Amino acid sequence: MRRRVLRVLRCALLAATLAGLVWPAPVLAATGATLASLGSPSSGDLVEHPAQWDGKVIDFQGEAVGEVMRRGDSAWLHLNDDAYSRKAADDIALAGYNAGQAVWAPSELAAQVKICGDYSHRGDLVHVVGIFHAACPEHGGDMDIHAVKLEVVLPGSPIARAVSGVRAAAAAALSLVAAGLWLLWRRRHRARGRAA
Amino acid sequence: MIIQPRRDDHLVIGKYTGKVIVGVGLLMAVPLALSLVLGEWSVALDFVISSAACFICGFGLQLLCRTERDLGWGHALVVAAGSWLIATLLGALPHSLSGHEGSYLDAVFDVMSGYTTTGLYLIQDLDHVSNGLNMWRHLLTYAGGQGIIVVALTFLFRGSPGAYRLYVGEGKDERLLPNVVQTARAIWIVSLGYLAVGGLVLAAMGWALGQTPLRAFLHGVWVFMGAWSTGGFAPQSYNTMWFHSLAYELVTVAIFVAGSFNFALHWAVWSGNRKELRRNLETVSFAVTLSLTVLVATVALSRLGIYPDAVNLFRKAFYQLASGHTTTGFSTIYSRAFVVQWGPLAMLATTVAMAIGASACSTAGGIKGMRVGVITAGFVADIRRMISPESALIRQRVHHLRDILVDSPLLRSALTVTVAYLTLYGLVAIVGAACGYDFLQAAFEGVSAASNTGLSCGVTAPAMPVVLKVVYTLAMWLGRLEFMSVLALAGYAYAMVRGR
Amino acid sequence: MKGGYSVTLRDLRRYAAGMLGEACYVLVLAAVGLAIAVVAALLS
Repeated sequence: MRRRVLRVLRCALLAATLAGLVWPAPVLAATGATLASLGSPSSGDLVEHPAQWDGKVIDFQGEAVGEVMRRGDSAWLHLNDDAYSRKAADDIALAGYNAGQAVWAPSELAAQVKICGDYSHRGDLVHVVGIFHAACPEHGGDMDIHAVKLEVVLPGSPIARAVSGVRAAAAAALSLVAAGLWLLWRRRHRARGRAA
Repeated sequence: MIIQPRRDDHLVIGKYTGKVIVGVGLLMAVPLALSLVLGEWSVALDFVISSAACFICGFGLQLLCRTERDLGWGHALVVAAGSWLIATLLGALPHSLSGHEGSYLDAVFDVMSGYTTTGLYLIQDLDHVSNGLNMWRHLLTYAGGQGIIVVALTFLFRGSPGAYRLYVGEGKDERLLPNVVQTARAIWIVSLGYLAVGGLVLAAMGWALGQTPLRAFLHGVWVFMGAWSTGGFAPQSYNTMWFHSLAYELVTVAIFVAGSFNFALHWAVWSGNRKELRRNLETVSFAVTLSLTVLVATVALSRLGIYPDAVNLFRKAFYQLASGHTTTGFSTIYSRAFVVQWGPLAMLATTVAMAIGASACSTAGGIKGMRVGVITAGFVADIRRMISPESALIRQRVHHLRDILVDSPLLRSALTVTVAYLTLYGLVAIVGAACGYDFLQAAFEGVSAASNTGLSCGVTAPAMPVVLKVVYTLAMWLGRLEFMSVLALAGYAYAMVRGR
Repeated sequence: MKGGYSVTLRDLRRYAAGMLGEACYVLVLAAVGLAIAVVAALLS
């Protein structure tokens, strides 16, 4: 009996903890004051010198990637200001790792972002003005920018991914060889099974 | 005298290596199917080419090497290390064909990092990678977590003493069930059970956090695979910071800590022996060393005052440390933040956590809690002996599923492997420093590679020296297979040339 | 896993209980981590 009660209590405690964690944190209203930007650092500058920019209003521009994640009145987006964000959609040459910053913006501003970068898209080029946090107290210490202004500078576009004829031929040839070897292997395998 | 391997030895090794490679080709069916469903045609072609290459090698080897001999211990070790190597070389084909890798070496680095559940990567422009390739990256880390031999054992082998030797060759030595093929299947029951529950929970949370259903599902499955295998790959370059959610972070912690458990422990707990969680040497050792390293990192960070309050401090310190200690490598801070924001003491605590690693016979790497526990117990026994009367008989026991007496052979093997790991860590760190990196950063990154963790402080990059890429790849391979098989492979190669 | 490889409903329940037990272990670890963070934040 006591064990049963204990077990129920334990389950309840677990459920309560999980529920408390999933409950959305209260969203603080964005400060609406007009703010003058103090500079336009790159994401590299921000990561290398977070203390220097902490709490300052900055300009930041980059390609929106992945998706805009709406959380109530505000939304998360991720802006990459790497070499890829400055390229034409059909230029898929390599230029190192991605680099960017997370941006927390009011939903109605974030709604302007229509196309996010992924395999088949170059995302919208987005310009934001906002406060940089080296370790945002509101968001679990994440490095982020709380945007008060947001505009799409250049709309995104699809990336054309052509199917290569050479590769199609190679795939067909290799598959044929593989299938042949498999048939041969199966015949040997069966013959041995029968002999045993 | 070194005996040169005979034709028969080559045949048996070739045959079983071929079987494992066929397994790798079969695995590629999953990303192939996904890219077909999502209409990524050129990606699908890449997977057809790659899996055909695997089948040609795999079936070709089996056709060439026909023998009825079963594997001996030496063979099994060679097959284990050799098939990991060939599986890596062939598994790198889709990466290389995708055009996201700077060179074939970079692709090999990424695939070795995947199989060994490390999580360091050299892939460029990750945020524009296809869904098919992302599936492959995460699937191979999931398969590597169970062990690619285990994958092959499950589907392609009949139980034989040789099969068990192969399983041991991969750095695992627990029999969950009497038969090794059954053991492999039990490992899959645990892994797939977690995949179903964990993947679903993460997908649901992703959806609630604002992802579209398809992306939430794919990310849920991928992040699960990265977490469970203690791999640390994630589909976006922001890693797990992408989600900005305490709940998501906690669920990933639960998954990667569970992934770092010994499969024998899972099986005991899942069979109803829940007390084992409190008594097991590995869970106790992990809890102690994790708490200590978290304590050091938290104190260091709170002195620096980077994180404004207790919850933020907890979210950052506990997450990175738990991720490092389970050798996962998920991270909610930028790589360079370790250097720029965390500073030397917190980095050192993280390095120690990574070096220790998690449980034996799990998906994790590092020295392993079991060895740390056994060595500590041996040390305690020595002290007890010193302060007891000479006639007293001191017997120190540790608990892992049953009580085990800590005797000299057990201590010796624990110490040998520990020393081997420490030597590897030291060597890799020295190579990093010789390449011109700051020693602390070189040590952090080197330990991360050799313990199969994957946390990075910014040393790993497409532009890093080729020497360092090769050394990290070798370190991941050695660390994951716990030296023996790789050394056996090297010995085999040597015997082929110099033996009589 | 008796004999064959079929998993019964009873097995599933045992597995679920096992999984929950493992989750509790993680919660305890997290609680220790949080306690450390709270103390550290109070002291600094």
